[in-house]
Amino acid sequence: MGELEQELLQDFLVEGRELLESLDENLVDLEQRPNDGELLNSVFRGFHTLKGGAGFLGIAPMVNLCHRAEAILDRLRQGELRIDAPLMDTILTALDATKAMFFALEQGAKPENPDPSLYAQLDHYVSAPAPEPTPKTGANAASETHPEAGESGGITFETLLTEAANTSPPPAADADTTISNEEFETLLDGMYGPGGAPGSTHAQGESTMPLSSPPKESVASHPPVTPLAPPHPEKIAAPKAAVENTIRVDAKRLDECLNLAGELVLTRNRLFTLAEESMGASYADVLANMDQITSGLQNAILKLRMQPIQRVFSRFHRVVRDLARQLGKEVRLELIGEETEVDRRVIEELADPLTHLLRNGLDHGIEPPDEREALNKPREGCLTLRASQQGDHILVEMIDDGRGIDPDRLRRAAVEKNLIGADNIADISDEEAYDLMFLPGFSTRTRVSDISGRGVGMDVVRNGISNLNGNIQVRSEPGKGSCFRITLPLTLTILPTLIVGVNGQRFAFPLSRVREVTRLSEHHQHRVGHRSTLVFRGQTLVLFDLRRELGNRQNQEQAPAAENPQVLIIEAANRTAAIFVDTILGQQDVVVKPLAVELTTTTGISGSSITGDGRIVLILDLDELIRSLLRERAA
Amino acid sequence: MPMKHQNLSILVVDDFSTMRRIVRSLLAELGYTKVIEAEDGLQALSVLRSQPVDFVISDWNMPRMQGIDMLRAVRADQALAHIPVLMVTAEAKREQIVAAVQAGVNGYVVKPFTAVTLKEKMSRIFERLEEND
Repeated sequence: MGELEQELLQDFLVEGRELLESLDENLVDLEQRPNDGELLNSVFRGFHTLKGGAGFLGIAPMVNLCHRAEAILDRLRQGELRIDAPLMDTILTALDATKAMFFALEQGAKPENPDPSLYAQLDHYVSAPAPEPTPKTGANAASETHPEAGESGGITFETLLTEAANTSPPPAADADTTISNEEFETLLDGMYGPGGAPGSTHAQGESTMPLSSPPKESVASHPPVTPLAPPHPEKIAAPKAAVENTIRVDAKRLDECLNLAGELVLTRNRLFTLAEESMGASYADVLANMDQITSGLQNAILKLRMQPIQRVFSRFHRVVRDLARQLGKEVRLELIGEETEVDRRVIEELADPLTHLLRNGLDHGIEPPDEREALNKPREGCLTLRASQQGDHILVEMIDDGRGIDPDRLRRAAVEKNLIGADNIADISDEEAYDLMFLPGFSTRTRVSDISGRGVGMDVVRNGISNLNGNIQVRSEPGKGSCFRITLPLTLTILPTLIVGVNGQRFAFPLSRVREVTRLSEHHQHRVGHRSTLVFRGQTLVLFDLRRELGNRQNQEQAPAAENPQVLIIEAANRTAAIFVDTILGQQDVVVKPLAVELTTTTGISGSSITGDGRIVLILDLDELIRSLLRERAA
Repeated sequence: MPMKHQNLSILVVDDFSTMRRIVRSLLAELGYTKVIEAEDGLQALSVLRSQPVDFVISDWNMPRMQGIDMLRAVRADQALAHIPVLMVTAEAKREQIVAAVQAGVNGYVVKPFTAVTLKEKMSRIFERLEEND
């Protein structure tokens, strides 16, 4: 395959992927709204376009498959077939087979023909009740329909269709319904007189030029030149720019830009610190200017990586549809805030956790239709995916209106599985109980369901979200349903943080987790059971003294010496907690550098960065930290 | 004088950008390098009304405005009616082609096609236009 063909194939794969994703979504929609003609057209167009592209690239099995799907959709358009679940299953299976071919091509492999039984199923619909004229063999149809193609060594869909071995060609176009070149010429003669053409007849009166008013520069001012004379470059460039306003860029290049912008931010921070220490006012002005530009550049590059969350949401229509059908449940998926933009990596890595949550909600949450009816709920359950930007973070919620989660069952299950001690059960609030389900080895169902089970627990969901520096919280109301709230930072490489000092060390708290900063003297410290607590705005919060818990254990005696410690009120591990630190050093955007491999197992630390004064700061993974402190305390 | 045609501005209309690129590369093979693109019939019309275009190669099936509707609009517009239009179709269905002829199409080409086929189709269109001159 030549370089150009290879490039075209890559284009086709990228663009075709997008098409496959929207086909998935549109097909599921179509099942709900079978009378939406525009939707049906766009699904038809999707397969049609794939077939067209595959045809030019000589991907015979794909042409074959898409041709059949297209034929069925066309019959739907003509009202010759009706949409029902088995027909939809067949078309969706064809779509899956097309996806498998894309996958093969992406791996550099030759796509295989799908299972012949799929062709049989498709052909059943292609030629079902309405009797079609006897199909000709593909080769005959090709030579009759397009005599010129054979002579010029051209390929046609028909030749591609028959090329695919051991499958019968789909009903080919019949000579009675297709037109030959000669017939076409006759038609034109009939319309415009022998040798006539639409353009010229219209233009006859006003001009003698064959193409009545070609732009001067293209014909008039460049009288006959050599056949392949390169046209003036500026004249090509101008019109092109007017139409193409998007480009595809390799993600690696974006990452490189992002990395450099990150370094620039670090350098800016250092300059700032230097300026504060020693420089004059005019210098500070220049720095302030640089500050603005750097931030602007950073944001501009970040935006390059942003894509609407719809890219990940859209695939769930299919997931929900298939699973609901499998489980015999009636479920509708509502998507809200699909236009919310998130980092490309979030799109890629959020898919699995969300799929798992949806499957769980559908399998365990939503009741069977009859049970719902008995409970005075609508037979059709509702799953909602909602995304929104909340200040500097993204909120993604998965809400079901099913049976909800019973916190007592979670407590008992956790004890049974030795995840918590039986005597701790009373200390565990409902919110904390919900958090138990994210512990490794936890599953409320004794039988591993093949739907949401798959040997994967909710801990995998939480890990996936933690990898994105995100946080997941659960709320549930028995009988009413559950809500999983995922908060994610707007960007993954630059993190707004609050820098604090603990035992002379510096730590960065992700700013999105810090609810308030306050002083101890205004509040009261208590001990409840094993725990230190703090009453804050009428709420009893679990309290940790980071000066004791972090850093050098041998400094423990010195630590409490600092009077009036600062208190941070944070959100982590599905609860609100209070944390003592020595000093608050201020807010700073830090560029997250992953930890070296040998440090990745360090509990409670997610990464590191360099602050303006050149010091290393460790970024806290608050969920991990709070959980491990709770475990330690319980032990 | 078919040689001069290489300087023509050609508008390629297709909603699938890969397809536009394929047609563009086939045209480049034939020496046509002044290629403009549009994503659907509506965009094509606005391009046609804003800059000189000598030849249109349009897909049939597109969102927003189909190829044939664009063709009708072109023929109905005094300023654009002279521009030759070659339609790209998936199959040469009689019914479809007759409708296209009635709408004022100059030629059709069946997907997938080679540069040679495209050249023949375009040459035949130019022949007719020049015969009529």
